Amino acid sequence: MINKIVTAHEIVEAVPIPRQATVWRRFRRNRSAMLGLAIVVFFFGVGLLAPWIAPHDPLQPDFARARAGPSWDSPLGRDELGRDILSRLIHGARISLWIGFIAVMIGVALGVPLGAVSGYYGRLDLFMQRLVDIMLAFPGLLLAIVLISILGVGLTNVMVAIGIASVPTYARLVRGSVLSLREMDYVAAAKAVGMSDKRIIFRHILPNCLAPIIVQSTLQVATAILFAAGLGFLGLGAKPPMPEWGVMLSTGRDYLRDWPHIATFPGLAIMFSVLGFNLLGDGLRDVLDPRLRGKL
Amino acid sequence: MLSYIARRLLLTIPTLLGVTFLVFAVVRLQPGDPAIEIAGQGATKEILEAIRQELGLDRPFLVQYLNFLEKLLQGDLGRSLKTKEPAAPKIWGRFLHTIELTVAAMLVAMLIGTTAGIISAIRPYSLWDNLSMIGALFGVSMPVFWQGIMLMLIFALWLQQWTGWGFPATGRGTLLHLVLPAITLGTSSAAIIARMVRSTMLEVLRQEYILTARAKGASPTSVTFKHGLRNALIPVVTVVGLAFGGLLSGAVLTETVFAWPGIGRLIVEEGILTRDYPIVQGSILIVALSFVLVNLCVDLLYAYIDPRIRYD
Repeated sequence: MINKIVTAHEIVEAVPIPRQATVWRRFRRNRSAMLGLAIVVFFFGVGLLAPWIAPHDPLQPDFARARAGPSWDSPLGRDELGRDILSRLIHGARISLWIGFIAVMIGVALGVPLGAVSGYYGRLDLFMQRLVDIMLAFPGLLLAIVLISILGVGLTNVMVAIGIASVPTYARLVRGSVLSLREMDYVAAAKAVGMSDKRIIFRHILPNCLAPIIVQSTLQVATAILFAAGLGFLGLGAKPPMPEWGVMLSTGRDYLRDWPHIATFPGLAIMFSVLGFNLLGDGLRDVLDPRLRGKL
Repeated sequence: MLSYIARRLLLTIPTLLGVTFLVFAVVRLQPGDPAIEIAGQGATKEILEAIRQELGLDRPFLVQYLNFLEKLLQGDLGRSLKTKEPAAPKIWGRFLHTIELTVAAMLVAMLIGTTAGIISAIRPYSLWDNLSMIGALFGVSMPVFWQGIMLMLIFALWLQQWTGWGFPATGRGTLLHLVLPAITLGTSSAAIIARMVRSTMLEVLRQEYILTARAKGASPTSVTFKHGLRNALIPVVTVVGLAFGGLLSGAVLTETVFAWPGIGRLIVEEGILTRDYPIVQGSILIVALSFVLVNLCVDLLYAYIDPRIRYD
């Protein structure tokens, strides 16, 4: 028995965690995942380098060329105020990715501890799960809309609202993993050597939930981009003249009949960025934890 | 089964109460004083006080909540701050329009999703499988409002220009008005269902009872549909419940694109943007309650068709 306690840390290390090199090798063989990574890296690059690669000022109107179609100077044409659509999309990538990441960080920061505590301490579980049930009773985008009605319209509030709206998803996901992990021998061993609950949760349980959290977060960036664009489209998010993709689409809708290019390209940008994160998320799921297939 | 139903119904009660409490609290947390919203900025203290008393805003929070619940049970959702009319009939009317759209979208999703999923699963890694899975990937990645705009452009505006006839682009009325919004709203759910049907069907087709069915000489059609599909559809039931939530979310955007007079537009355009809180409160409550009830039905249905669930 004493031997078992002494070897607690060895048990922890003995849990098979895929090595980084193996993960990367498996990931590289997954063609759609690599395509997803390429798309994500592309949008990242575009967002990061926006001020240097955008051919024109995204906010500078040029009324003489309002609604002009694609040309050499403006490959995607000009919008209703004569602003260069390509430059606005390039700057919009920065906004969308930023929203995606902040929203995911808020979701993880609140949802993961909530799920871990709920799963680890049985007596809190029933209460926490009802709380999660109540939040899940509001369909995704609607929860974000409810939160925006309290916080007020605006881009920062969109990030917060989408982040909070994803909390129940993370809480439920982590709770499920923690429930099974807390029965593991290495957790019993850690308890036996007198480790504090906090240390057990953060050092031994959460690192083993990382795979589903990473996969969910990647897919969640895609959802956040879609939601943010949707809220911008509804007039509850970013406001004109900000080059946010949803706002661009919303204004482009008014010119659909005669100048469809204004609404077409922002939609393509949203679609391909979301596609990239979805492919990457699916690929990561297959590589990190194939058992999650069909669950996430 | 009865004890499962009882347990599941009992668990729904705290959720329903929590939902009503959350919606109530959200509206009380709104910035601004409802009395000023009603009486206007120039109102005297006495008038504001009278309004607060009339609305019960001077009473303790919990008492206000209990009053709200009591009224809710009587079907009273308060009055619109703008039109002063009772909110309930308006919200209910709009909600029915949304349900019409959502049910149509669900039919589209199930029809396209299961067909694509089955064909993919029968011939995995074939050209059709690859095409339909790529289509499904685009389906979940496409913003619903952009898809709506593109469908409107192609099948309403351009078709009208080329042939002199096109689908109606906006509004509600005939069945034709429902076509574009229902396809728009149903696409992403169709994609999710297709992926789910494919993966569960592939798993089911590997089971030993399928082998047994083949061994005893059942025809391929009978094996696929009678033995395979019936078992593969079980997990799909839960997806339909989840998809309903997605459809309600998507309905807000689809309704805005196609000027469909549903509850989503009511919440955004006549609720949040004009700060008409009773409308927001009542509409969100109805949507959330309907979602809870649909999930309850899905859970019960799931337990009915898959008895293993009941014994968990």
